[in-house]
Amino acid sequence: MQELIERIMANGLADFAGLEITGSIPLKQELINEAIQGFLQAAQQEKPDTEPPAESHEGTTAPAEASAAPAIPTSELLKMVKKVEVQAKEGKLVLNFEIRR
Amino acid sequence: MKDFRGVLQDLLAQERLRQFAGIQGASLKIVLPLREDFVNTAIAAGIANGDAPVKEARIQFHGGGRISVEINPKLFLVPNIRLELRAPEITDLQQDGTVRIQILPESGAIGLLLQTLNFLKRPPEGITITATLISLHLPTLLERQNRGDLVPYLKQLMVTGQPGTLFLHLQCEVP
Repeated sequence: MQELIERIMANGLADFAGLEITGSIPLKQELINEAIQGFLQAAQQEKPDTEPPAESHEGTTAPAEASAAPAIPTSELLKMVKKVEVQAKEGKLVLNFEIRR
Repeated sequence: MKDFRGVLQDLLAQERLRQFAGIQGASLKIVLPLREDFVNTAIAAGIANGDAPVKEARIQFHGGGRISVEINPKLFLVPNIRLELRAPEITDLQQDGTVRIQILPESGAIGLLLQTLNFLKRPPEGITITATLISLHLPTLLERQNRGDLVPYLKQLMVTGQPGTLFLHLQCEVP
């Protein structure tokens, strides 16, 4: 089964051509602030003078806490994103998106 | 160092622990096409790695949720089985979360045979087989994968199809 998962990831979900994910996610400002803090902390922990982190396919950096399953390169994932819109409402941002393979 | 995806994965894991309180009102629609070739590869891999009571099984999608399954059982003197099935058009996952796949009369007495085999080799937890129905209890199946906490967010499953491909339409909501 692991081989099958590796095949799915290696061919960038080509087995699921026609896959569609559409959604709307209201993000509370607390969550957005938490995300910003996470990105900043991650950036500050970066040590450019030390050995660079392991590179996965197409030059994307493998996350330290990534699961055992291989990941689809970020550049490939972004190609599947067909629409992203943000609406600002009181205390939250609503993220509307469309992903297609 | 974590990259962009690492930070997002952490946030998602935290939100899951907080029962997605930070994204209340979120909704998601997923259309997942399942192709015969892919499903048959997955079935073969599952049989090779597990202790399924079958030597081989192949599936065919005919369109409109009609599915044929050919099974070559391991059991002595049990002949090859051909099942004609119909997937449910719509399953309300907020009711009981059971996907009921009909065993069509074209299958003949195979349903009865399957029911009998049930006594010889119990199907995995979450799967029930009667003479006319294969029931998949999604909460139990997800629980077995340590994903039981996601059950309250599953709203509806719709199945459509065309020859060679079955489409699963899944609706999720964070109330």
